[in-house]
Order: sequence, then C-alpha cells, then structure tokens
Amino acid sequence: MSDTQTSTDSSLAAAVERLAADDPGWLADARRAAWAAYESAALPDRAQHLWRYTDPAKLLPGARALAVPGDSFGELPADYHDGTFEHVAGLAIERDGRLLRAVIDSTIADRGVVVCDIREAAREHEAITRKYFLALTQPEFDKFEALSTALFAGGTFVHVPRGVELDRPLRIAHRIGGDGLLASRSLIVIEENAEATVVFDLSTMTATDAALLHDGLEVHVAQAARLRLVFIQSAGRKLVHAPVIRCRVDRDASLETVTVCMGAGLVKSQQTTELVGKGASVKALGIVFADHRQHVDHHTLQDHLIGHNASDLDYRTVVAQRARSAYTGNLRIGLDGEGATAHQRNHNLLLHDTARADTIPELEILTNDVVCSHAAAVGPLDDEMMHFCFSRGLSPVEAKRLIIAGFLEPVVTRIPGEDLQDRVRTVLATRLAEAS
Amino acid sequence: MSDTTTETTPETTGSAPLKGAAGTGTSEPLKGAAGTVGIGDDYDTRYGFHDDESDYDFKSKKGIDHEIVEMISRYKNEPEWMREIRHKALDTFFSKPMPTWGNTKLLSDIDFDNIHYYVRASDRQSRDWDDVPESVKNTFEKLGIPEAERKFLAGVTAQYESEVVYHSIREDLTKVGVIFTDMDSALREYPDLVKKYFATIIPPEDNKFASLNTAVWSGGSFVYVPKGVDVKIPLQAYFRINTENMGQFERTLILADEGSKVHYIEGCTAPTYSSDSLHCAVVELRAMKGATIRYTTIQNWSKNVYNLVTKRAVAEANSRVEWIDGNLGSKLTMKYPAVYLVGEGAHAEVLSVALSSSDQHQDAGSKVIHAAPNTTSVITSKSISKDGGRGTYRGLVKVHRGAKGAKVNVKCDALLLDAKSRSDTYPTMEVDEDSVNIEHEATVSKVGEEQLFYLMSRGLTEDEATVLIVNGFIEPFTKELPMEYAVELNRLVQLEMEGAIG
Repeated sequence: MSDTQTSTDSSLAAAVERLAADDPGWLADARRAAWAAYESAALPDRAQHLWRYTDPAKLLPGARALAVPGDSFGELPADYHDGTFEHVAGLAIERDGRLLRAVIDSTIADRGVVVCDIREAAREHEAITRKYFLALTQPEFDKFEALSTALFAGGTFVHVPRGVELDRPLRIAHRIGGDGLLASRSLIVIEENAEATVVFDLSTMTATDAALLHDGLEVHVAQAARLRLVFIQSAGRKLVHAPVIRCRVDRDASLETVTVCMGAGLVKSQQTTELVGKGASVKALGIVFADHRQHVDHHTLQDHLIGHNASDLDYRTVVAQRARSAYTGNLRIGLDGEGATAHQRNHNLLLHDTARADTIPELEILTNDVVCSHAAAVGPLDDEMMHFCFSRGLSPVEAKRLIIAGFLEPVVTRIPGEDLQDRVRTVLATRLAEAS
Repeated sequence: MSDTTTETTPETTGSAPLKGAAGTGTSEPLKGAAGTVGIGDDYDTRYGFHDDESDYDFKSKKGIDHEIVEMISRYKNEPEWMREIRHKALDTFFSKPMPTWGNTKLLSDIDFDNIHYYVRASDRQSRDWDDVPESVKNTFEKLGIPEAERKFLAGVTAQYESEVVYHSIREDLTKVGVIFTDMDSALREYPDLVKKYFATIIPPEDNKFASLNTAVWSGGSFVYVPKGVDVKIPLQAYFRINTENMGQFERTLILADEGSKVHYIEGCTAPTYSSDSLHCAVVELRAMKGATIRYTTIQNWSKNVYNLVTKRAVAEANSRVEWIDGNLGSKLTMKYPAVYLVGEGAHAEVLSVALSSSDQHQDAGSKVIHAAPNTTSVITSKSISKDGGRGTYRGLVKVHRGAKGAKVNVKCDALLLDAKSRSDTYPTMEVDEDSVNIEHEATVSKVGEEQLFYLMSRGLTEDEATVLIVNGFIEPFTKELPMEYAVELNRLVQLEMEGAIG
C-alpha cells in the first residue's frame, strides 16, 4: 500500500510539472506551491465535525493515476439540443475537468461576457484570473483543495462584466469517464451590478465510470451583482466526487445556490460563503436523494464577516435503502456581524430502517444584535399527511410518492428552465418508484 | 471550522453547585437597578471567603503519581479491587491525550502538577452538626446548608475538600431501606452493591477526566432507593472547595430500584483565588424499570475553577431520568449529562441553563442515546452570555437501529446581552432508524427591543426590564426547581445582570 502510494505520488509530482509547463509562470508557481501544501498537509482530523462522517482517506488518490482527460462528450442531453439561444445565453461542454468548447450568444459576447477554459483564461485574461484565482482558498488550503489546485486539467471560467445582465442561463454540461484521478478548478466572477445564472450539470459517460473527481470552484459576486448558481449531479454510482465551492458575496449583492445531488457513490461536498458587505443576500437550497449504498456528505458554512445582511439555507434530504446522508452546517456571525439575519434548516426523510441520516447544524455567534435560527428534523413521512392522502383515495405507494415529491418540489422550482426541472423531476420520480 | 462533539466527547461535567441553597435572602425578584453590588463583590462575600487551613488533618503534596493514588487508597483502607481500579485508571489518565475539541486553549492551561489531589480537613465524619469542626461548620452555616436541611431536605451530605464531613438522612427513609451516604462509607458498608455498579456506566477509560476521577476519587454520594419507594422530598449534597489549587474528585452513584422515585440536588461553591482549581466529578445513575430519578445541579464555582465533569445515566424500561442543570460559575465548564435509554418506553429529560459572564466559558449540553423502542427525550437548553462570556451548547442525540418509535425534541435558545459575548450551538443528530421523530431548533438573539420598550413604557427601568425578560427566558428551568432554589437562582441571575445594560 505504501509502495503504491509512493509511486503514485511521484507520478503525480511529475504530472504537476508537466501541467505547469503549459501554464503561465504565476500559475505554474501556484501549482507547485499547492503540491507542496498537499504533500505536507496531514489528513483532516476526524475529530472535527467536518470529517466526522466521511473518511478523508477515501478521497486520496491511492492507486489511481492521474487520468488524461477525454476528448469526446458523447451525446448531449436532449435539453441541450436546441442549438439556438432562445432559452440559454450560452452552452459549454466539459469532459473530465477540462472545457472542450463553449458557445455563447453573440449579443452577449459583444458585451464582454467570457466563458472559456480556466487555463486559457490564465493566458488570455491574465489580469482578471490572477486577481481572483485562489483568492478564496489559499489561507485555509485544505489538503484536497491543494490537490485539485496542483493537478487541475482545466475548468470553467465565467466572467460577466460590470452592469451586464444575462436574462437566460449559462449551461455547463460536464461528463466524467474512466476510473482515474481527475481534478478541475473553475472560477466565476460576476462584476458590479451584473446578473447571471449558471448551471453546472455533472454526469458520467457510463454508469460504471469510477473516477475520483476533485473539483474546486470559486465564486465572486461583486457589489450589487446577482448570481444564481445551480448544481445538478446525476453521475453513475461509482463516481467519487469531492467538490469544494467557495463563494464571496459583496455589498448589496445576492447569491442563490441550488444543489441537486442525486448520483455518485461517495460525495463529500463543501460549500462556504462569505458575506463581506451590508445588504448582501445569500440563499442556499439543496436536495439530496440517496439510495442503495450511496454515501453523501454535505457541509455548508455561511460566514457573516459583516452584518446587516441575510442568509437562508434549506437542505432537504431523502435517504432510502442502505444509503447514508450526512449534513454539517455552520452559521457564523463574526464580531462585526451586527444586524445579520441567518437561518438554516435541514430536514431528512428516511424511507427505510436501514437508511441513515446524520445532521449537525451549528451556530457560532460572536455578537448580539442578530437574529439566527436553525432547525433540523429527521423522521419518516408524516402520518397525518399520509392519512389525508388515503382519505382522498390514494394508495400508500401513491401517497408516499406524492408527499416526497411535494417535499422536494420547492427546491426543484428554483432550477432555471422547465426542461431541466422536468429532467430532475423524472430522475427523482424514477428513483422514488424504485425505492417505494 | 466546525467543532467537534460527541461520541468521543469527554463528558466532563460540572458538578453542581448549589448555591446557597437555602433560604437566604428572599429576593425581591425585580430589584436590580438600584443595587450597586458588583458581581465579583457579591461572590467574594457570600462564597468567595476561605478558611484557615492550619488545623487540617492532611493535605497531599501537589501533583499526581501512583504514590498519591496508593496513599489515598491506603488511607481509606479500601478493598484490593478498588486499589487496582485506581492504579489502572491513573495509567489510562496518563496515556490519554487532552481533548482536541472544545476550548482547547483553556484546557491546555490546566497544570496537573500544580494541584493538591487529596485534602482532608477533619479525620472523621459527623452525623451531628455539633461534631463538625468549628471552621467547617461556620462555612456551611454561612452557605445556609443546615437551614436548608431543616426546611426542606430529606437528607444532606456536605463535602469539604476531599471528604464528606457531615451527613444525615431522615429516619423514616432509613426505615424503608433508603440508603443515602457518602461513597467512601458505602464502599465499606455496602461493598457488594458498590462493586456491582461502580464504573459500570462510566468506565474508567471513558475520557481523560473520568480516568483521573477514578484514580483519585474521594467523597461523593451513594444513594439506593428500594423498589417502589418514593422519596418525596429531595436529598442534597453540597460541595465546597476551600484550599487553593485544590482538585475535588467526588464520585456519585445513584441506584433507583424498580418503580422508585428520588430527587437529588447538588450545589457547590469555592473561594476566589488567582490560581486555578480543578473539579472532576463522575456521576452515575441507574434508573431501573419504572423508576424516576431527577438530578438537579446548581453549579456556582468561583471563576478560577475548571469544572470538567462526566455525568451519565442508564434508563431501563419505562423509567425516567431528568437532569436539571444550572451553570452559573466556574472558569470553564465542560459538562454533557447523558442518558442511555436502554429499555422500551424510557424517557430522558435534560433541562439546562447556562449563564456565561466575563472570563467564563460554559460549554455544556447533553447526550441522549436511544437504544430501545418507543423511547423519548426532550432537551431544552437556555444560554445567556454577557460581558464577553461564551456559552456553548454541544449535544448528541443518537438513535440506534431498532429504536422504533423514538421521539426526540431538542430546543436551544441563546440570549446575547452585548456585542462582545458569544454563543455557539453544536448539536449532532445521528439517526439509524426510520420510524422516529427528531426535531431540533435553536435560536440566538439579543433582548428584544420591543419587549424592552413595552416594559419601559410600563415604568420599568431598562435594567429592571432586562432582568424581567431574562427571568422569563429561563422560566422553563426555574419552574422545575424547588421553590427555595428557584428564588435563589432568580436572585443570582438578577445579581449577575446588574449593570449588564449600559
């Protein structure tokens, strides 16, 4: 085991150099520094809540070699076929953590919106990438963020200039293949008074692809800008997915994230949001549906560094069969956080007695002029609702499906685009039918 | 970023302080404003005094080693099995690392070599106040213990430093077979019972501070309530530390046999010193079928006491265990009273109030393990932070597979009185069973301006209004206390609140 580890590490070190050779100097330096950080960082401490439910060793490359990203994408999802920009502002296709191509509505391109691979951006848009790349991560470089920074093959870069408002979403379809180690890093910058919706749609090429994907995403929402960020993950059951998403929301800006986690065998997701200005508004919605032997672990942090702003989080989890969900969340109000309003909710439905849900909603409040609350619940379907449905003539199975669909629907409706909503509903309905 | 909690959580806990229980000054609940008594001033006069130690019977050197453990055991003339447990536990204590969670900074300041692990003021225990050494008697009289006993207690144990110096129980209870004595006497007089249950609920390896307690324990209460006996009025223990750099390690074991009922109250205080003392108690409760145990603690140690206590109960079928836990004093308290619900229909109730003031961190909470069907638990935590104090709720609720029909309700509310104070909530819920109902809610807020405004429009000053609101906030707690305690607690809170606004 340790031999394998060593040889993999040395081949990974070589890969860092290979990748660095193609990058501008500042990025090559960042890679090397990240690799050094990765090598020297200990595995996270499992005594910490963040790692209480998922063994960090499972996210190590182990015997996996760094995969060469594929060049093909396979068939596009039906809802991407349109080819016009009637419903979308742009489409991008990503394979194994590298952007293959991106097309955006020319009227938007004319206004300076950029969607391209992050490594291309590092060369072509150096000033902006240098300013924002790793701006939200380095001080607390966690071991796995260091890994994705050292080894990323690419990623998506989205830049919406000041004052540009996109009235249709940007969609990024990302497919993963093979069983190697993959890393990517993406960056979204929404400048002052701009507005955008970005949808990340992650799946695997086949149901049996067993890759390990470490992907990092940094999101900057500047003053008075507005961003809706959607993650739909419907990968095959063998994927190991470890996303780390770091967001920063400035004065009067708003960020809404919608997370729909349905696939992969092991998910360890971390999403942190800093509120750094007054008037900022952050909403985080999530659906987790896990069945069979899926292990899904979500962590969120809403960090009110400045007050007079608001955050609201609502994660809804359904766990069936032998699946396991863990949610750890923290609401933190700093010393300068007076006037903050923060709410956090995590509700879990357990469909079978072999399913398991763990939840740790934390509060850390360092000043007093705040309004904070959190609530968590775990349980089976509500008896009264079931009885109500029976009294209207529904069968137990119908009643169950209806109630669960109703439980998830408020989040589904926040996904932009009827077509995407319907796709998510269909996947959920199929999975529910299997589970009930 | 996130803190840790639980399973590995040492449950250190605090012991209890009762504060002068008794009927000392009946307070007028709403006085507040006029008084100029500072918080420190009041503690010093009421509890912060210390007695001369010149006539002490024995005081161990500072520091801990096998020699000290051997000495304690010999001194007490203990059976061999207990001596062995102590030595083994000391090795465990040495080998276990300090917790890596919680307030590690304060924890790392504990100097285990600068503590007297065994101190006794008197070479005998009394059943009559007149026999208690004068200085010790004066102390307890100042604290109001004898008065409380006369008024409303069924039995009293008073522990001074490491040993119980006074002990009494009403005769009618003795007649029906109730045992209420100190732990050392119990080991001599009821060796089989003690051996059968000692360290079965909190094993010596449970956590570092429980290991330390097991190695050097002295004093504490032993209670046995026979089948079907209802002890209608409370039993009480009062713990007093007098010496500087003292470590108090009492060990309490309460056994409530089938269908019985008992209410045990503990309180504690200590003199105010500039260097730290350590209090590491271990409290084990077993509620057998259909029994009810209520365990009330009013912890009011001085602000130089580390209060790291492990408290745990096992609840058998249809039994009920209630921890009523008030934390007002100490420098750092880490205490998470636990209930293991092992029999069908068992119920756990944890109701706590923590008041954190300057230089204080109350890291308290609870732990409930549902390991049987139709078990229920209710956890209510109220925390108030002021003057830069920090209040932490840290809890675990675990529902094991097969605990069908379990119901859990956890509610944590925190009130922050000023901008420097801090409140944390670290609840953990682990659910391995589908047919359960778990609810958790927490809120953090400051004193509502509307409430203040309303009360001030009725002629109250801001201080008075705040005291009233705070008293209302902790009302669910105080209403569970015997009246004398509730009055006293309200008075304490009021004192603590004086000058809080401004």
